[in-house]
Amino acid sequence: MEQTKVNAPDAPSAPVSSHTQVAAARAVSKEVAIRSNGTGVFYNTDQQALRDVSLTFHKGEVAALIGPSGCGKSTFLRCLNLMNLEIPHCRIVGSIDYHGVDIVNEKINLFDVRTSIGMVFQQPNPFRKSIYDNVALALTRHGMAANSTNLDDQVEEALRAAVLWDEVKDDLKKSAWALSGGQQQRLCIARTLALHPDVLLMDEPCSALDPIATRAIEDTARRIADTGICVIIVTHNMQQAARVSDTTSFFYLGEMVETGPTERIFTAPEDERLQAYISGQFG
Amino acid sequence: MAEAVQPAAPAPQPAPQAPQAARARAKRMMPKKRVELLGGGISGACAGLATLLVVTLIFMVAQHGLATFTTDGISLASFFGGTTWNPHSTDDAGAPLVGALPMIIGSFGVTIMSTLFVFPFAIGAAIFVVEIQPTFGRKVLQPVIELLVGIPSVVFGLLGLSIIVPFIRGIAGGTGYGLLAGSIVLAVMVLPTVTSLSIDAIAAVPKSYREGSLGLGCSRWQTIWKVVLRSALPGIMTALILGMTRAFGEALAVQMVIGNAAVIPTSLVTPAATLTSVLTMGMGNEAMGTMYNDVLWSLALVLLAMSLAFILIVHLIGRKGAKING
Amino acid sequence: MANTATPQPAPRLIDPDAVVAHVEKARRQSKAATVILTAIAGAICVLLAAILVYIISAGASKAFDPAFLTSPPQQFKEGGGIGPELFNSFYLLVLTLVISIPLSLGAAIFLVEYAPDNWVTRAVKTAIEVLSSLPSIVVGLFGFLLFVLQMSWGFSIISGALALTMFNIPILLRVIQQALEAVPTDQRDAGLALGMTRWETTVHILLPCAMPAIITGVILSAGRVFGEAAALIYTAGQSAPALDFTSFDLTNPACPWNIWRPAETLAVHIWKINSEGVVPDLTAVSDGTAAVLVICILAFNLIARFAGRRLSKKLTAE
Repeated sequence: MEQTKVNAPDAPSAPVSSHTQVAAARAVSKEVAIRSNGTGVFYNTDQQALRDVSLTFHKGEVAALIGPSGCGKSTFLRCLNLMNLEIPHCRIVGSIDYHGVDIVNEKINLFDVRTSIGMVFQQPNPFRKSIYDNVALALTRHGMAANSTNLDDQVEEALRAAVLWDEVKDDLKKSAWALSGGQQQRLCIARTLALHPDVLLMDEPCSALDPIATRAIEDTARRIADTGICVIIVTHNMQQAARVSDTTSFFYLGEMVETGPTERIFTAPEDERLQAYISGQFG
Repeated sequence: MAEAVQPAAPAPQPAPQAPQAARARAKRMMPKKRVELLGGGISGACAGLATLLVVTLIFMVAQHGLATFTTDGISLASFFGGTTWNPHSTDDAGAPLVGALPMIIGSFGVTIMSTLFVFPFAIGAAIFVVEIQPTFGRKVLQPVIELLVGIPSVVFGLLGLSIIVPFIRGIAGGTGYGLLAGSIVLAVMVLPTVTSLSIDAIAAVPKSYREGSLGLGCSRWQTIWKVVLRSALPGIMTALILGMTRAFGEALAVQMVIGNAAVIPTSLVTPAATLTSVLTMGMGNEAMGTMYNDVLWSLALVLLAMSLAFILIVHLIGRKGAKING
Repeated sequence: MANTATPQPAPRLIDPDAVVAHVEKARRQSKAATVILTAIAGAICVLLAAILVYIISAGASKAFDPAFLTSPPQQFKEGGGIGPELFNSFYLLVLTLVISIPLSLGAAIFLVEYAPDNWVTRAVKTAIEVLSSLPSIVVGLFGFLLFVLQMSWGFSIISGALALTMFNIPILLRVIQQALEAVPTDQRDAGLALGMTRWETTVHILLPCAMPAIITGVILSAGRVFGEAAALIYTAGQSAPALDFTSFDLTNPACPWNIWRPAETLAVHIWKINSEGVVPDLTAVSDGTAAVLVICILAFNLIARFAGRRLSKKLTAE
């Protein structure tokens, strides 16, 4: 990474290395999928991990959240599907607007929200069951299958959407823990997609995977977004953010510093902290 | 109260009706919130029942045990200090002979003696398993210890009766029953408990302590003695106290070899008695509500109180150990 | 003696011979310690072997005699058997497990998943800790007060089973809790993120993962329950009415399945005949009973180990 200081915002030479591809601009819908207003997170009353984040995410968009370790991007992600509420003494302030409902402050059906806002974690965590059962479990628990044939169809549909069907269709009864890391992560994506969410949260989904598997996940993410699902990815890998996302938001020390279209963020960052981060002065 | 969130179906995917239909179907199942409440309620009820049983136990034993002092008019001093236990007889002043001191001494005697016997063997075995030969320890010694734990206490009592009592009789004369026989039997019984807890305590010492000591040129034994054992001391003391708890509360094995003479023991090889042995033998013989029965409950209350005291000591050791080890 | 661990500023202050002697002494002590420790470990193994060999050989003549295993005990004559006691031990075991497993499972799930961080949880945990430290004779006496007297069930199987349940709950609770906590936390996160409730996550994801450890623990606890006597003397009683296996009338004291009848178990029988001491062949009978008891418990141990390994392998058939 070059250490040269970036001066004017209109400097034509991109601070990002020339090998990085920036995602080709896609037509992204203007419809809002989910929006946060002044969202903040307190652990234990006095520790504020996140402060006043206001971001809008649109349907069919791939949004990347970048920033150094500990900057709060994962914390923010976990607010969107209210996973932070599972941590004792954790408090979310502000509001998160989803389909016209403030899911933080209004009374909602938590479990319904979580079926519509899916999450994929950093370490692939398939259940210790067969591939089929991994996808089928939540469908069965939510009563979303009319009969067993319908269940089979839904499982196949989900595995196809996660680009895993061809690799596993011959032995769906195989244990999920026997799959490779990349396949396991796609299985986790499949079981989330089976519930037909309209937002998919991905918390550093490739950090435990090799480059080939990473590429596969990134392609899958873009494919999912093409179907109209809003994909929000947290990543510490700037090149990945540049490759994959339509919009990027930069987090630093618990605050959202700058957000915008990916191409502009990486070629013409405004905030100097973002400039420093992109040019590798800290990470 | 806001209704359940109904997100719109994603647009271009096949069967856009599927999620709507799926949600309609899901509505017919038990609402998740109720599942959660039911689950939490059932499991909470189980926990509550267990707690209630314990509270009831303490209450009922105390109720009967304290009746000796409140209703039957026995004084605390004569109970705890009296040296003769013969509730059906009275002394010259007409007060019943309900001195529990012989049994208290007997109980503490066998507990302390058995702990002293067990201590070197348990610690030695624990050090062996953790420091000297971990593979042999894991494969052989630990299953051996598990098996020893599984042997019922009556069987240990029987062994004491068949082997230890005649042995003591052969060496020291007399009947062979007494504190010594009781202590040996108890020592073998608590050995597995103390050993496995000590293994846990010693294994919990961070590897870096050992490496630091060896790096300074200390021999393995010096490392064990001066560094590892010192650091594991709170855990080892907890192990010993828990062993003592088990020894103090053991009833049948002790009762079979102690001789059951409720007198202050004059030697280790003359018949004696413990709280548990008198309790075991006497409870069936006395009618409920009588003073003779109430004093037995007082003995049970003393047992209960000692168990609670042991738990308290273990907690204090734990807190102090946490402070020392930072 | 110079403190050899502290680096000295002027090397001539250290006496090299003293240092060598000190190190030699430390090494000799270390060797001696190793010998002693190995001897201790060996002694314990020998002790167990000796105990098992003694018990089984002393009781072998009776333990493998079918007549002994099926005939009822004798009060004053010799030739008594342990038929009813053998049945009672197993029947009590099964009843105890049937009652204590769901209770312990529920309580463990509460402590692991739902317990709020407040005084309620602390009270529950303290109560369980107290229960696990109580002498079993005290648990038995409480059972006597509550089930035998207060509920007027008398000396009965149900009183004994409930007393044994109280005895077994702390054991099972710890096993189940540890098994649940050993499941990686991201499994729970995955379930919750899919919109499942904590209850569903626990039952459908965590419990299946924890099952091998739980089953092993349950079988091992069965061994402890099987051999327990102090809690039963004043709850299930010391008498063993002759059993008529053709009877299914649950009110008949001779019906084996009647839970309101007194039921002496193997362990209680050993204690009783030794404390009464009137049967002429009491040594043979109690040795035989002890051998049967120990063989059954060894079998439980082996089954637990075997089942645990098989189930683990099936689960990880990956």
